Amino acid sequence: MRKLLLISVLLSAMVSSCSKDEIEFQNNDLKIKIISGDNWLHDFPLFLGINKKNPPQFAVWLTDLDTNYVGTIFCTHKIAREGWIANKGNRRKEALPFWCHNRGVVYSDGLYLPTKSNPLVDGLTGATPTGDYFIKVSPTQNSTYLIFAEFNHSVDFNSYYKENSPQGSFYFSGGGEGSGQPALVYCARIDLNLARDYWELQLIGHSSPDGSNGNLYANLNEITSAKNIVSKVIVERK
Amino acid sequence: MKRISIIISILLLFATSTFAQNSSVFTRAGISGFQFGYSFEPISRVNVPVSIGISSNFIEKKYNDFSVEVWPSYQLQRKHFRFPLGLMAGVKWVKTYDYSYAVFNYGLYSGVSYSFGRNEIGLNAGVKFGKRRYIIEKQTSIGDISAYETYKENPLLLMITYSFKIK
Repeated sequence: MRKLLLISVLLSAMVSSCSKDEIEFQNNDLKIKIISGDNWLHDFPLFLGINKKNPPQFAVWLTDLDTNYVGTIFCTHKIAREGWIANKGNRRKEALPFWCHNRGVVYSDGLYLPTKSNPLVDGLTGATPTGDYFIKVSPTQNSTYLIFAEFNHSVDFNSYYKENSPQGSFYFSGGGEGSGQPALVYCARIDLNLARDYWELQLIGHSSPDGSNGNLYANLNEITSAKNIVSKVIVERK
Repeated sequence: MKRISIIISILLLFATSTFAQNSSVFTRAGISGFQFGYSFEPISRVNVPVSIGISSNFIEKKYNDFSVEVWPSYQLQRKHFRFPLGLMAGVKWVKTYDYSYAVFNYGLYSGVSYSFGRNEIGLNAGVKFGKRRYIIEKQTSIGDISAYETYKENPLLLMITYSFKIK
């Protein structure tokens, strides 16, 4: 009898710990859907020829129509909290430079990247999802925004952005453990005053390969596999 | 929840000691974290360790976990050596950067232990599973933002155990 009682107490504790919550949408909420592409997961070399499938780093944010930063909707943990593993002090400024510079916050080391001690606080942060993902936003006001999304894989080198591209060259992306192909930027203009409920972000360019500035480069001819990191980024209004 | 789990584990330890044939206290450490607990043998060759402890997840870099686990095993014995073949199941309270939540985990393990006097040293290895999807939320100047995040248990289980026989 005692055994049964103990087992039932333990089981009930376990079952209650497994309850799941669901995100509920209300009228006018936005659903930002990130639909992964064929190259969402990319091999990152660990040691002895062993690779780990890594998802990309990404950020989603809003600006006004003059591209003045309004706020971050979502940013992956590693960028938002300097959560890199074994990075030997490399802050990986080439990861999402367009978002970093657009946000415009300069940290104590002169970089635009949040630090462990001073992480991103003005947006949602989470672990990088391994596939399709969505984010719910309940906007405080109906306004017109530009919504941007920036994605990047590290070490996705190609025949232009090479591992051994010399420092100072346009194609230098941080060296052997650098970005490879630069971050890609997607954008859409969303006007929440209109009776429209669907927007698709378009690929508009790439960021600085070495992360040294916040410019946007429209030439995408030298980008190969990175174009398939995401399939679509969609904003739906409920 | 953490307080409830501590109470449950203490109750388990006291209650089970009344019908155990052999019982030990143990501590173990490894890539799954650090634990201490109490084990007993309700029937011959079946050992039931109950542990509480701090576990860690090196893959997801999430720490400050607190776990309550049961590791029942069938033990083959040859002289001073014992070879457990067991299951483990437990609840882990995980605290990440901003959130706290419970994850049910379970697994399989085996190993070897060597006893000398009332002492026993063992090595356990196995696999562990556990996954939990939860909501992350933030209030910002743009509006309220929410999304899902998924926690995955570190699948590899590897621990060194030291036990001291008390009964």
